[in-house]
Amino acid sequence: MGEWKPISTALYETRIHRCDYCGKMVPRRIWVIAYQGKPLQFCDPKCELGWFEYWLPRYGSEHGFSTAAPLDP
Amino acid sequence: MNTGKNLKPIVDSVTLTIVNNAMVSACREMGVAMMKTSYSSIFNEGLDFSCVIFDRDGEMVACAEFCPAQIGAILFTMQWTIAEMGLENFGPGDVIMHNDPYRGGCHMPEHTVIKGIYHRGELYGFVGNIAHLTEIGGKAVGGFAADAKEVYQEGLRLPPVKIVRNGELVEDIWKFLLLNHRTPRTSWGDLHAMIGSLAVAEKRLHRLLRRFGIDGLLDIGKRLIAYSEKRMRAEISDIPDGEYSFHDWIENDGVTPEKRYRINSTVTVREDEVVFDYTGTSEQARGPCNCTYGVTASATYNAMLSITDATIPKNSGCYRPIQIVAPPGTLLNVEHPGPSVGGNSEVHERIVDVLFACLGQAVPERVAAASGGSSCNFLFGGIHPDTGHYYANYHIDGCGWGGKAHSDGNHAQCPINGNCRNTPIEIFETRYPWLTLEYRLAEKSGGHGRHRGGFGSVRVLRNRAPEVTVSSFMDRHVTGAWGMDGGGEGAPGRLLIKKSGEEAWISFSDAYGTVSPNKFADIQIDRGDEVLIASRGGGGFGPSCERPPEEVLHDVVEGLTSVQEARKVYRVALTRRDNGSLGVDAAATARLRRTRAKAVRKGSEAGNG
Repeated sequence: MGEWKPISTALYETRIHRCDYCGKMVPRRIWVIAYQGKPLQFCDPKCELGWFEYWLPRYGSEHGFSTAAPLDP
Repeated sequence: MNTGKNLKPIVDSVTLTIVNNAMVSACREMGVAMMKTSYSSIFNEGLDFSCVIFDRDGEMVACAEFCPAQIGAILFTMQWTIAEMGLENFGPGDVIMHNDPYRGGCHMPEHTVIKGIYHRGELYGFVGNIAHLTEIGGKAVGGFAADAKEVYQEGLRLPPVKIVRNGELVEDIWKFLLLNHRTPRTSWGDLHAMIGSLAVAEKRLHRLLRRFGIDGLLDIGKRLIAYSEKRMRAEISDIPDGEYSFHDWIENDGVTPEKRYRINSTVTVREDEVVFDYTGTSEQARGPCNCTYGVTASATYNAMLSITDATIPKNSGCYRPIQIVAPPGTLLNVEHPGPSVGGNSEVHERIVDVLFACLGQAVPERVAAASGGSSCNFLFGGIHPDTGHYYANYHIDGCGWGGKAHSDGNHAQCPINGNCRNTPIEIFETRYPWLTLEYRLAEKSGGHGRHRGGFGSVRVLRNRAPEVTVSSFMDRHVTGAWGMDGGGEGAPGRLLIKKSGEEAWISFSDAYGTVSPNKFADIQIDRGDEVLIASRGGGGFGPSCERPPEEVLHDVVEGLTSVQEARKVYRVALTRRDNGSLGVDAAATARLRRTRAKAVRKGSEAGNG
């Protein structure tokens, strides 16, 4: 189950948070979940869905995810 | 008083159409205001800006026929600004501006200005304008540091800041900004034009708000967005499901010798949604050929809008069925501090070409062969010999567009990212110390085909000033634009210099030792030096021996090809009639084409044998 978390940044911060599915930059709040013990962050819950439906079957194993596990986190 | 709070939802399609058209017209009027009041050529001649209307949820409700490169990115610059500032920090009469490429922008020269629209004290939404300022400081005049290695060399970068508060200029910001631009008077005028254009749309929206109220107008906007989404989903459903892949290369990044960069795309169509996956693209470059996420998204939307029904209202709804996967830290999603000035102007159109090649595997009748794919970015500036003032200009040239299934490619047209105009020679020579010696189509630069690629152009300029500082960011000088379905390749481009008193045209690398012959910054050329800019031709579509003979005859009469080439490439024999005019020799043409068909079949059999 995901939740929105605020992103608070100092005025001098140069890092930008990115969606783990689409790559888009995220300004002030981010959707976070944990899957197989790893934290994941998305710009929107729709991208979480895209990550499971599209990204995980294709690229999950290269990035240390077990794609044999059930998709329901 | 009508506050709009108790209005019933308006559902009839006539009202939706009228309001949509009113909003689109408001955006167009913003553009006219920009054109008529801006100071720099890239605005009042080039029209390098886009104007939009957003609702208070950050959804684009309307835009007009502006630059595809900006219409995608402004979604992200607006949404980021609204999120970072917070709605509570906007007020009537405030204007916020930013140009940060990492906050949704295209590249540093592109500045977004945003103004909240209020009705009876309540926020309805926003009007926005994104436009390319000619000069933004940084290491190269003209805002195009083509050999930049990090964003800090590219110019003055601003996060979202208020430049107008409650109708008054925020002087501290203006002083800071203008001090860091080489042509502050031009920036002053251009930014005021942008702010003025927002006021035009504000007036038009107030009229609609008086009629429909905030709730009514918001409801109409949501319905328009839902309508566009429905139409786009229907269009995508017509594309056969499947996965379609293609890749292309950017020839160099301007700073790293002999290294090219891969643009990789896999397009997956699933029923009424489509995923554009750029995984497999090269890591981000050291030099400024990187794209921001905003650029990659703009190019993706551009390709989709190009192959779908043009009557779909352009708003956020069009983009909902489109998913983009752009891994951060790659050429197509640069991370800090990577430079990106060239991505918007030079890589965007290459992304579109790659996507056309992917989608063309499914719907070839809707796409085009590769375009010349370059804006021929040529920047220059210095002290004007006539005025003594510092000047700068961003010059672009058109290229040949790819042939399509149903027509030839356009000649010498601004590439698909821009929808801009180039500056007429009369204006160009009045404002800048150049003499135009030649401006013509580049002979034989379009790829052959049943429908040939459009031709590029050749422009030769002679410097009249004691000294001019030039920069350039161009690609497609090594390989030409590919053809499609058997069409031929377009000719690559060239950028050459002839030093005063010399005869030979040589590359800038040979003349000045630049790492790249077509991507460099801050080169000083002297009075009398001449520059040749040859833009690229588009690829052809379909086998050239299928081009109708009468069209080949027309090409020869128009000087686009020769009698010899007509015979050799198009297999069309021409003959001189009694009245002296050229005509098609039908019998000889039929023989030539039969001979060609036999040769092709024999080749195919050998390949399969």
